[in-house]
Formats: sequence, C-alpha cells, structure tokens
Amino acid sequence: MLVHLAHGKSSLMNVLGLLDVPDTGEYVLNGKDIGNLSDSKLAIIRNETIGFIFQSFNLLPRLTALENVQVPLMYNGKSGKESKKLAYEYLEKVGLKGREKHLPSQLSGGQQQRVAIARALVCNPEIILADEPTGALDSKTGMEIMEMLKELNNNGQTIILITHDLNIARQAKRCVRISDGRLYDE
Amino acid sequence: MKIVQIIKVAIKNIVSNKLRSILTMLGLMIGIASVIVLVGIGKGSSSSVKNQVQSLGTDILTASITTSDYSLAYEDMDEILNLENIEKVAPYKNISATVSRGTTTSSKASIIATNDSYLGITNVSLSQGRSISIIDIENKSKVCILGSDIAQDLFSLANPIGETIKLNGDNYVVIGVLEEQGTSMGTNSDSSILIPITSAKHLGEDTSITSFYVKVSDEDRIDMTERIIENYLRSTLQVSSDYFTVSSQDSMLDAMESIDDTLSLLLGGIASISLIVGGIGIMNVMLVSVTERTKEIGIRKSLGAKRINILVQFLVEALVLSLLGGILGIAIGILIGNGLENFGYTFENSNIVILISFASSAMIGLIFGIFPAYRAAKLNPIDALRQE
Repeated sequence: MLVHLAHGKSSLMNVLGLLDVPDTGEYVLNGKDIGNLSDSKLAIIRNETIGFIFQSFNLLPRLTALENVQVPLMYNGKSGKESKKLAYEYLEKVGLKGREKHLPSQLSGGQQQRVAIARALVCNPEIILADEPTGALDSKTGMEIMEMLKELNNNGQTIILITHDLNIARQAKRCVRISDGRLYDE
Repeated sequence: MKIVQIIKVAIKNIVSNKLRSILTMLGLMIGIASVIVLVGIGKGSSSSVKNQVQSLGTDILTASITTSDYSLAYEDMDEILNLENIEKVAPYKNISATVSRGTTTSSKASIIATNDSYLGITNVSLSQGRSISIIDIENKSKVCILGSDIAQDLFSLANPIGETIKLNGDNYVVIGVLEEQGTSMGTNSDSSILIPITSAKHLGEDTSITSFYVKVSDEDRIDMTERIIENYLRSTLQVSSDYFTVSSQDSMLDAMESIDDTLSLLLGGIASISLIVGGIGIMNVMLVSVTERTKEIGIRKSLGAKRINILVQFLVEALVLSLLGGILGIAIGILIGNGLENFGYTFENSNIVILISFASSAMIGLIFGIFPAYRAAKLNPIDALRQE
C-alpha cells in the first residue's frame, strides 16, 4: 500500500486495525461487519486476528523483550508459563535468541523492531498491519526487516504494509495507492 | 489476564517508581498507624481504669465533700454506719509526709489515714502482720501498715513487723505489710502507708473527714443507699448536693464509658480524616500515572487489552499501594504502641481494629482508585497511541 504523506494512511491503518471506527461506510473483516461490535469484541479481534508493527516500535519501555512479547498472550488468557515458552520461541524466530532479558533501551532499532515483529506474530494473527515498519531505521537495517517480512509473506502470512517509500512498495505482491483520500489499485 | 499476572504487573509498576510509591503510601501509613495507636491507647487506658473500678467492687459507694469549708467528724462515721443497708464505713484522708528508717535518706510518701474497715472495703489484703484495730484508733497509736513497694525500699528482705520507721520525724511501729496491688483508683497502694485516722493529728492534720468509702450490705439496693447518704450529708452539713458527691462504681463506670465513647468517636473521626487524605494522595498519584502511561495504555489496547483489563490493572495497582500502606501502617502502629508501653501507657491491641484498618485501606484503594482506573480504561486507543 503506497500512500503519500498526509493522504489518510494513518486513518486507514487505524480503521483496518480496529483502533478507530469509520465515520461512514462499513468494514467487513473475515465476513464479519465490525462496525457495531463492542469494545471487548474489538479487543478480542485485535488480539487474535491482527498483529501490529509500528514505525516507532511501540514496545513497553519498562518490560524486557520477553515480557513485551508476552503481553498479547496474557490478554489471550495464556498462563505465564505458556506465554513465556511461546515468547522464547518467537524471539528465536526473529533472531533475538540471547536478548530475551534486554530492555528495549538496551536494544538497537532493528532489534527493537524484531521484538515488535515477534510480538505481532505470537498470537498467530491472520493479518499483520505494518505502518512504516522501516521508517525509523537506517536503510541497511530496514532491508533486513523487509527481508524478514517478505519471508513471512512467502510462508503464507498476510501482511498489509503502509509506506510512502516507493522502493519498499515495489517489493509487495499487490500495491494499492492512496492519494487525497482515494484508493487506486495498481 | 490471570490475577497473578495483574498483581505482578502492578507490583512492577509500583517498584519502578519507588520514591513516589513510598510517598504515596506514607499518607495512608500514617493514617492507619495513628488509628492503631490511638485506639489501642484509648482501649488500654479505659480497660485499665475499668479494672481498677471493678477491683473495688460494685458494692462500694464513694463519698467526698468537695468544698473545704465543710467536713464531717470521726463520730459521724458511726451515724452513717447506722443508716440503712450499710455494712462498713471507712473514712480516708490523703496526707503527704516524709518517710525514713534509721539512717536512710527520707523520701516523700503518700499516707492514707483511715480506720479498721479500709482494707476490707478496698479489697486489699495483708501479706503479713495485722490491720489497724479500733484500739489503735481510740489510742491514736503511732502504728502503720506499709505498701509493698515501701516495705521493699525500707527493709528490703528483712521482716518489717515490729520495726519502727519515721514519719515526719516521728516514730511509728510497723504492724503490717500490704500485698502487692498495682495502681488502683489513681492511687498506688504499693507506695502508700496506712495509719489510723486519729493519728493524722500527729502529722499536723486535723481529724475532720471529707472522704469516705461505704460498703453496702445489699448490692441491689445500692442506688437507694446512695440517696440515703446524700440525704444524710445534706442534713448534717446543711448544704445542697452541689457541695458533695456520692457515687457508686457503676455510675463511675457509666461515666467513664460515655467519656470513652466520645473519645473513640473523636479519635475515629480524626483517623478517618487522615485516611481520606491518604486516599486522595493515592488518587492523585494514580491520575498522574494514567497520564504518564497513556501511551502504554494505547499499546496494550492495540495488543488486545479490553477496557476491563486496563481498569483492573490500574485498580489493582491502587489497591496494592493502599494495602501495602495499610499493612505497613498496622505494623508501625503496633510497634509504636508497644514502644509507648515503656512510657507508662497501656496499649491494647485488638484484632478487630487491625481487621478494620486493613479493610478500610482496601476500601480506600478501591474508592480512590476507581476514578483514575476508569479514566485509563475509557481512553481511545488511537488517541493514546498518538501520545508521546
């Protein structure tokens, strides 16, 4: 999804991620109209169906990498033991074995984004929503993160990535352009 | 989210803001500690007073003339004894005198000048020797009975019976020693010396009587006897009842209990004000915490936290803060209370007060935590996420 700055990408991202409700129109996700769902139903969908990757990582600064990955699992009703096991597993998948006990401030930007990816994946979501995931990273680290996302995608993971960077947009299998609040399929 | 995890998160947040958490708890801690101390001291003193009153017995009336212009003569005691329903009468005078024995340095002691019935009425028994006799009174004998502490001071392990001590320089023969009593009715009989009422003359006092104890024969008619004595005093002294008091132990107990109740109410009021102040402190800190952690709330919501999860998290945090403050307050209160016992206060700790303190700190956590928690819970996820 290629979007020019300030053309409504954040709004779309927020609506897609169920963080905001659309003013008009309807949003059908997996055949379900989510327009009139209650807060707790929305929270469950956010937890189970959607995984967020933010530009600024949005890790909880006082929690370790491991604990950050555990957070969505806890809202999923998993026990501490179970969530710990899964969190270890996913941190290993994103190449952060050995960094589990580090605080976000002790990790590089790329590593922090990997923690965020592990956190997004850990509940097995159907969709990953990535909002400028490489925007806060240098180009080399950005490439690495993109490689990781592409690999996930090749393994069957749906990823909606929002960017204004053409080079990144080109790597997507399907590209949708937003300009002045309108969608153009390319 | 499991409750254990919620509590862990709450403790983590509290610990990561140590100074602020301690300061917040301090308000509640002081409040709870003062409840424990004040109520404990209040209860302790009222029950020790009650014990003293009750140790005197419920068949005793105390009469005193409150104006120095009026007094009774020793002979009047016989008239009182002849009134209805009266078993014994013991006049008493409190005199201060110096006591010494042989070459020991003299010290002040409180002398109770009384008659042969005094020990029987006040329930004090002798550990050795004999009581004051009627003959002692008639002869104005220079004899005395020592309180246990005084006997110990003057004679240590020696047998004091038959020995002489000096009261204001005059020789008195020790005829008896009292058993150890502890403080009773504000006077400590352990450090008192009893002498015959008529011997008060030798100590420079007249023999006029302004106070006496009465023991009634029939306890059930004590109120009637009280009025009889009042009538007697009114007619003998030719004064109104404003000039003397006659009271039973029961009426003293009642009076004390009503004072106790007022005092407890007052203390409870003061304590609850400090608890409310502590609670407002907690609310304040929780509100600051919600503002500071708006972003965290947004992140948690994006990861699937429901409103109730956020609400419970903040509520539990307030609760942990207040309970921790409460528990520390209880511990400090008990410590201070026990410490005060070394300074002569009686501290009575009761489980019910501890329980109420604990419950009220929980209540305060809930009451003052619910508003900040509700505010956190109803934050819009995107607004919260946008916050830096």
